[in-house]
Amino acid sequence: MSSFRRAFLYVTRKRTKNIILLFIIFIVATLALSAIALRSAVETAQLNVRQALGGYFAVSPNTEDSSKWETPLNADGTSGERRFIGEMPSTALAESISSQIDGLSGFSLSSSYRARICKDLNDKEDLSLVPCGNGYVDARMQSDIYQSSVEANDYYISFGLQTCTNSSLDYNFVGKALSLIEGRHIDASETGVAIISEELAERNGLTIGDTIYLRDLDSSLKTSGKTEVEYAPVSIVGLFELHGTYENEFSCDGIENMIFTTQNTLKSYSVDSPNDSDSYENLYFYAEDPVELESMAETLSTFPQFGRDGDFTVSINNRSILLVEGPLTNINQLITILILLVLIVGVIILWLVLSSQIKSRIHETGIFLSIGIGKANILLQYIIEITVITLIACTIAVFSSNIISKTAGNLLLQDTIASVTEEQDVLSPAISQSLDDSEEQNTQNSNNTASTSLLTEISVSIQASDVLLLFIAVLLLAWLAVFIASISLFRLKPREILSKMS
Amino acid sequence: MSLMELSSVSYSYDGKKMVLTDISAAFEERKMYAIVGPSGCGKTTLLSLLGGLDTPSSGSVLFNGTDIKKIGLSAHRRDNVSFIFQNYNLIDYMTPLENASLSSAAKESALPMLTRLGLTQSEVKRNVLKLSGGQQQRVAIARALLAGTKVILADEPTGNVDDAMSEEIAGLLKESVQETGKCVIVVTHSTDLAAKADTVFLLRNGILQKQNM
Ligand SMILES: Nc1ncnc2c1ncn2[C@@H]1O[C@H](COP(=O)(O)OP(=O)(O)OP(=O)(O)O)[C@@H](O)[C@H]1O
Ligand SMILES: [Mg+2]
Repeated sequence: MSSFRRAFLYVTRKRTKNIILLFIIFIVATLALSAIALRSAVETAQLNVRQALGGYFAVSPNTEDSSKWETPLNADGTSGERRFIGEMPSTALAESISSQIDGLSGFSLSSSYRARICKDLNDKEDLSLVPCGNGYVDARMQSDIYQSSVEANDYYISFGLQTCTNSSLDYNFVGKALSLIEGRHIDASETGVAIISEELAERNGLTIGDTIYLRDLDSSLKTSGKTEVEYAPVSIVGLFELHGTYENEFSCDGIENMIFTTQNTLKSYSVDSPNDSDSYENLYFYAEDPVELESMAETLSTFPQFGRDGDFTVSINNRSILLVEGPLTNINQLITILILLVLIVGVIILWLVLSSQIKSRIHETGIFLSIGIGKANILLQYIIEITVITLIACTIAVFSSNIISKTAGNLLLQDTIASVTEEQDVLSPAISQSLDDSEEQNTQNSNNTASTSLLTEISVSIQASDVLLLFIAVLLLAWLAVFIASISLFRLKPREILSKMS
Repeated sequence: MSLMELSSVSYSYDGKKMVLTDISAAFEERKMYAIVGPSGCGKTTLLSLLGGLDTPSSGSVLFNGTDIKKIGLSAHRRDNVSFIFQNYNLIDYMTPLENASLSSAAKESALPMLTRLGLTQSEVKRNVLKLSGGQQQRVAIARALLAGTKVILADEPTGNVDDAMSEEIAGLLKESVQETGKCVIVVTHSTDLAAKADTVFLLRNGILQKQNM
């Protein structure tokens, strides 16, 4: 009788023993597979989140250096607002940095301005802001105060204007706070193009291809001493949508009311336009893996243009990454510990049960030996048996671990989302205090909200390679246990085995 | 040349007290041998040496004139000798049919053999532990006969069965000697069984003596 036939008879007839073994392997395999699946899901999620959050490091002009400021005289002879006259970031700077630091995936230059917008040059009526402020005076700011104010303050009916070198690389789009839903992105070479929010478009009956007109704020014109208002026709080439919700005190600060355009467009009408159109307030660099942002920023800060007396400073924004990474890293550590525990306990139990089962087969082994069946042949039978049982157990485990890891994944991630949201709540006041630029606050909020929505999209699935790996691992373990237990049997002489059993 | 030979075989479990001392004997085909002797005199030990379950401390066991160490103990057990034990030694997860064909390649001859030994159609497919002691011993005998070896070594094959069954088993062993020309060496306490043997050996004080009948 062949060892395959004997193994088949053993597996099919010794039900209790085999079911116990099957059950143990099934449990170990299920737990291990679930843990592996969860772990790889969390790892993927971490990278996704890191990339999606689009952490960046920012190069800004060194405004700390007081020698780089001047106070000009206004047209009417009074002293005007203090003005920064130091070096500003430019494409040339960005390209030189890019060539010197490895691992950068791109950069974008941008500046913030404000503009009033109308869509009809006949009535010149300002576009209506999308209401998104939560301050109770917001609505009045937009209409009453402006109209009734003697000192005309048109800030509250104006729009945020973001000029950028390439809107697809703007940190708002990279960080997935915004995404383009219609039309196309814009780049620095263009003039008279803009991307606006879908809400703003809807509120004012605008679509892609429509023309709007940008003009300076009265306050800017007054400062510069210019009396004539210039209107620049701008064509809407793209619409963006917002992800998440944002809090603003005033609607005019809302990201819904922000429009993206180019420095060339600004230059065509604005008194605020810088002399050099390749001169921006902010320069953002993105990394292929945002984890490296910190070391890159460090390298950059040793460059001659940087430092306390240099022209630029570098600051890193990976706060939102850290915020989300924290809980995810915790899950990962938890899972790693879980995997180890499961494997240690599982391996011990499996080992003990398997060895004792093989050793209890001393009688059978003795009989086989006495009729001249070779040791290798007997070992082969035992190996075939455990292989079949392992195969069955692992196959069932694939299904059960799928269910378990999905359920566990959802539970763990719910906790994570809850704690991320909590931390956000704690952080928010700090952010609004430390950053008085409301647009930056928007960015912070939007990044966090985007990350939260990304977390819910984590998919837990079991890879074929994981199953294969586990199957091989369990099999090797079982084979080793069987082998060692059998060796201890085979060390005895057949006569000793036979006299032991009678 | 004899089929099996013991040549100056001595055996000791602990290296001090000798169980077998300088035993020489020859066993021929178509003969039945009985080994008798007091309990603990070393009968089972002697059978183990003949069957290659153990090796002598000194001296050698020959099969067809070749030392069984040279043949290989496992090969010797597979090709040359079969055991019948007092406690049957059947595999508990196999049917009588499967047990009987365990050591042979020819599965087809198992059923006729078991039928010949008196097992019914339902008995041969039952779990082997659900048979009576005598029936189990007949399965073990079937296994030994089907293995196709020239020598059958039986250690108290009738030790656990009643007189009627002993008689039958003795008959079966005798038959296999006469019909298939096997060499049967049986260790027994039973005088009836010993009486059926062609030659009776008495083992006492480590010495094997041929008995005159
Ligand atoms: N594993 C062992 N270790 C040490 N001594 C042993 C061992 N097995 C048997 N003996 C001793 O060897 C002697 C011979 O034992 P053996 O089993 O061959 O006797 P036996 O003639 O078959 O007896 P019985 O008729 O009771 O079956 C006995 O004195 C026994 O105590
Ligand atoms: Mg004995």
